[in-house]
Amino acid sequence: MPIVEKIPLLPDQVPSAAELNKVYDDLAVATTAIDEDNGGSNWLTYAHLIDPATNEPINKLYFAAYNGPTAVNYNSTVFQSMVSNTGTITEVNLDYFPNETEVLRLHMSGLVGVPTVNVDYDFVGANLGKPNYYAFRIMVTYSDSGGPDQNFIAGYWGYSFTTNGLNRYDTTSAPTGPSINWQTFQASTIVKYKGTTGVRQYKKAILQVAVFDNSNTLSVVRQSLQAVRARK
Amino acid sequence: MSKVFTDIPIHNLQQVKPESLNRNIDKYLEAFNGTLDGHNFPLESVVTTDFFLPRDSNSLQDTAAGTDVFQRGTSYSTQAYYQTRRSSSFEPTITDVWTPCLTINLDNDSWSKGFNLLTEFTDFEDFPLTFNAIEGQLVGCATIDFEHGTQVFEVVVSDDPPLSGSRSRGFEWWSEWGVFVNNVLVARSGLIFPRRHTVQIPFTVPVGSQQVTIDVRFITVTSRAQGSPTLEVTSSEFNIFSAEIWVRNQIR
Amino acid sequence: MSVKSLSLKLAKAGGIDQDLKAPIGTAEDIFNFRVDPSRGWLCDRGIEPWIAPGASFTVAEVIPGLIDTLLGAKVDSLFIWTKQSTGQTYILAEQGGYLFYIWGNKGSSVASDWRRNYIILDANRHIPRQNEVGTQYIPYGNRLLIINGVDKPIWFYGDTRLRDFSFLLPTPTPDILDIEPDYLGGSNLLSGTAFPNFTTAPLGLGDRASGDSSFYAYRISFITDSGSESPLSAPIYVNWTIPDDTAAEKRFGIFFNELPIGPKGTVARRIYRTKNQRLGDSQNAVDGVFYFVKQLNDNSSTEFIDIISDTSLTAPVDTTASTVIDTAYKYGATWNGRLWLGGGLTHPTKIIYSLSGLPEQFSISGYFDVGNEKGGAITALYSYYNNLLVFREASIEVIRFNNGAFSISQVSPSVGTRASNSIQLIPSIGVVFLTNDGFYAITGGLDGGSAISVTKISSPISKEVGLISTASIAKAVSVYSEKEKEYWCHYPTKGTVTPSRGAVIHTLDTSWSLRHADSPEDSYLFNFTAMAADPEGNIILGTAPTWRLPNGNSSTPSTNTAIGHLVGLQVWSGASYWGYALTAAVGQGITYTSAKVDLPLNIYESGWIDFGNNSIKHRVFSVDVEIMSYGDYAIDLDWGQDYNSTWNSAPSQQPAKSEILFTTAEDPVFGPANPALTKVPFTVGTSALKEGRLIRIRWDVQTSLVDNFRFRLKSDKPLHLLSYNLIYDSADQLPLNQRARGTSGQPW
Repeated sequence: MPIVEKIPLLPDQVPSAAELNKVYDDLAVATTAIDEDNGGSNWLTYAHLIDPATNEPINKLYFAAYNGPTAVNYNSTVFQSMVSNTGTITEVNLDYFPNETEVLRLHMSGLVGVPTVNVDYDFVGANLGKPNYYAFRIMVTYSDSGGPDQNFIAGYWGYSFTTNGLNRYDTTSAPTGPSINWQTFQASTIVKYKGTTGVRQYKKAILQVAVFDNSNTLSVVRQSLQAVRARK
Repeated sequence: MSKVFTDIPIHNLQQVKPESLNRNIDKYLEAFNGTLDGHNFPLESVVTTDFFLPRDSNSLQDTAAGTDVFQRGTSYSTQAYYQTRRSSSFEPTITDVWTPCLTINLDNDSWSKGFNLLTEFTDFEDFPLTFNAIEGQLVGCATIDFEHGTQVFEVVVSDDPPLSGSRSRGFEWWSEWGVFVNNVLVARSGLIFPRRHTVQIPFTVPVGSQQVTIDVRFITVTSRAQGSPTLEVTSSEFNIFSAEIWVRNQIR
Repeated sequence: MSVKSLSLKLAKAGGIDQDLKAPIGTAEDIFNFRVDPSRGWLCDRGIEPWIAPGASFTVAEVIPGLIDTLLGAKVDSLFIWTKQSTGQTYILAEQGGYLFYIWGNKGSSVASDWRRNYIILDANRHIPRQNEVGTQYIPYGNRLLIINGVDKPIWFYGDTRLRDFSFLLPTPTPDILDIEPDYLGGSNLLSGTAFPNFTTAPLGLGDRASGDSSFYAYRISFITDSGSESPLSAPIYVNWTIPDDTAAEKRFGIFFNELPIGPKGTVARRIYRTKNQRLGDSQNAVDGVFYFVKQLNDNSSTEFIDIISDTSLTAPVDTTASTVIDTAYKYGATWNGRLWLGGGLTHPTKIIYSLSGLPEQFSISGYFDVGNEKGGAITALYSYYNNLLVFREASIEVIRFNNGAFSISQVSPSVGTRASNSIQLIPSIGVVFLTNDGFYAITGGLDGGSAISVTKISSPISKEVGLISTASIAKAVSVYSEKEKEYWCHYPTKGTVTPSRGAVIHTLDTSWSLRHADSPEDSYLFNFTAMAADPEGNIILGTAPTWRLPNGNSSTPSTNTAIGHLVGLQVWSGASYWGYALTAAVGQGITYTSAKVDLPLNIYESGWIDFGNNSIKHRVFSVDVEIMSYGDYAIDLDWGQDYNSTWNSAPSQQPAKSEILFTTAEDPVFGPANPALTKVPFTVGTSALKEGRLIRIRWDVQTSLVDNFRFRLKSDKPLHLLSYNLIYDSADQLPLNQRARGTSGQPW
């Protein structure tokens, strides 16, 4: 603990070299190991933190977006990565090794344009109102100890093409209800790493979308994905 | 105490008094021993390695696998994160994003015309996020994937010529979600008209060092059909696919 | 045999009293001394720079002219702000149009990082002229307001965050789409909308029946992060009439197409609306009252749909509660939980005040205008206990808060000040300020029968007051330091514009002394243009640096071989030198080497002493002084007689016990073991620490028979004077009568 003590020198005292030198020798050692005991309260300001343009010590932001205006159509029943109109996948490169218990925060948002709805009810099977749904998810790819890439899903969030509910009273007639156009979509979640520091490397986070019934086509005009690494 | 300056001068041929050896060095020691401030520490020098690594939170225990509600907490030196979630895609047995984990029958189940607590419903009893906050700011999002759609009935469209067909009913049924911190409504979504929707409600509140409970509640409306007394089902169901709250406690 | 003589024994060495019949024992001039807490006059102060330059440092020119400004321009204002409830202390200063604060440790010695100490907040600011006071700093809670009456006011948060203050522009009006009920019956496309619409109450606005007209007006406001609300925007109107078509018999939602985004610092926006004013021949009064509709807790949405019906509107708004202000206010204070602003070129006698707790919101009725009473323009606002003092050029008013209302009254109809930076509150004296004819103090209060009084306190330094420039009195700066226990005001002399002399009140015994150079050529060493005290009480000085070439011509910091004195902020401390002189060497960047500057002379000069009777002659033998011992260096004494301008020197004495001086028994001193200098250098392990002794030393003087005698003690090293004693003899010799003949001319 680098607190340096000094005995007061009093009148008529004959100080020895050792007494006089002690405080300076102690300071010479202590000044190389300054820690929180030396600082007053609330001394740290943003000016003392390393320049965020080069190294962000507290949180780090990753960002990817497609800003339109050309809509992209999706009608896969299997989750597929969202892309720009030229095929660029909406994903962020994380490329870091999280510490044990570290948190990664993920946000996504976007705007649906004018989807094409053909089926919003399953009259034949047991899936009833599920054809009315489309959903998004964020997939995080990682590798453990340099091994092959694996992935996990951080969250799933769904929307409907029309206003109709999952269970309807009339189970015989043709679908009704106009499609909901120009609907925003948005969600966020956090992921905590429970493993050992240095084992897992997060590679990417990717925004994906799927529809339940492939005769409906979702049209997305813009989307964005952000990741925030909470470091300290 | 910021920078310290010379207290008394020392000149050649000046008498050596106790104050000559005490006063100036005492002032510097007083600063060094616990009152160094922003003017003493170098600018742009604090790097990542100077901060503590994250660790498990003391005030929110991570839930074990297989519980109905998933909760996580992490503490850092400048912030802390807490999360609660119940999702049909994850807890406790995975179904999928197309299947709700909670269905409320608005005709038969008990629900309130005001804000409804989720804890009143099956498997959501442990949903509220309770932890010990540290003085500073709470910034978070509540993300709820729910559905309250229109009902579809076969109705008579015209008498002459006789014509019937399917029509949706309940376009005016709205729902709204609110985020409550210690039972105070801090953010609300506004009216959401019938659909399946994932609503994200950001919120931010200043907080002292105290226990905090955050939960989400919903209001919804429905109406009975007019005319036919034989219909038992007039409302559509209120389904929840997932509900999640995450919050960041920024320490002041 | 005793010496046959009289002695003028004085209990203590007094402060300055320049009156013609000043008591014996007071001084004519004391400069660069302070009153020691254990009594006596002590001169042990020097100057050290706030940021130590080291032996040398190199700067790389990043912005052309920045070096000349930061190292060469005078400091126009200085303020030390401790941000409330944090540990941060900001030292804010202005030089050459730059407003910045400095941090003590820049953490890098790279030449291009030389300006990391300076965090610049604003540039190209107005530089005050010689009759302008300059920037004022008004703390409010954990924010700081920086105003100068010309540039936009700055609301400073700390770090590098700042924004414009209050509401200088009217709030913009939102854009609302027209309501066209005809669309519902299938009419042609016009400009508005018919959606959303509703059939049943309580949603939607307007009357539904065919032929009904509805009329609404909207206004919005911004809420800043201080909680203050902007003035309401101009109203925007929307109206419609339901046509004769059952499809159009609806209630409507009003669509805001463009909701204005507020300026930086806006955290919410409020929407206000009237109830249905209903034009036409139908019922219900048109009252034009605006009600609160909704607060949007963001500053980003640009669309909004209002569907809230009239029955839900219950809170009317006070449209006078906030008004636009201008940037011309020059002075301000925080008092009564509010921010007060006043003065300025365009409204020199107006004062406005904010709502309580809302520093940026000024209501239409929240102002005073003191122009009705004689007294000139407002020159300062100063919070003094439970009053707000309003200083004007030639009067002082006071504002009080009683029974929920403010009132203003005049306390002095003739005394005012233009030296706004000279006003300080001094414990046990009151509010001290400088006027054209001296220093005055405001004491007392207005409660419980006591009265505010304005009294002159600078009678002892009347001759010094005569030197103060009245044209540039606005440049006078002052500081009160609790650590030094003194109020120090530094001012320019007549014919100059840079403060170079100062007057000091020592609160320990309410005595006066001065601070200035011994000779006019050295007055540049006292060019202090701004002063402030840091939280520990250290006096921080803003200077007007002097750069000269070795041949004496004036120069700039970026000229090769130029030498600069008083460069950068300085601290009045126990330094054994008077700042550093920096010598510039221009090469790859500019390297400045530093050298300590010797201390100036400190002088205690007595007044003319007539020994109580100037009608007889006296002969003075010696001056002996009671001082604290300080070592083996020399202290000089000069003496003068009979109002002669010549000073005669007495041989130097050392401030040490005379019997043992220069013997091996004397008190140990710092210094080399050199018998030519001292026989007792302090030896570690052998020499004991001795406290200062109270000693008497004596200078012998050889006056002839004189009426009046004076002396002065001079030293650049510490001298601690407690009292003095003059040994003299009086002769019973009256002065000659004048030989004058009234009618016949003067004798040869």
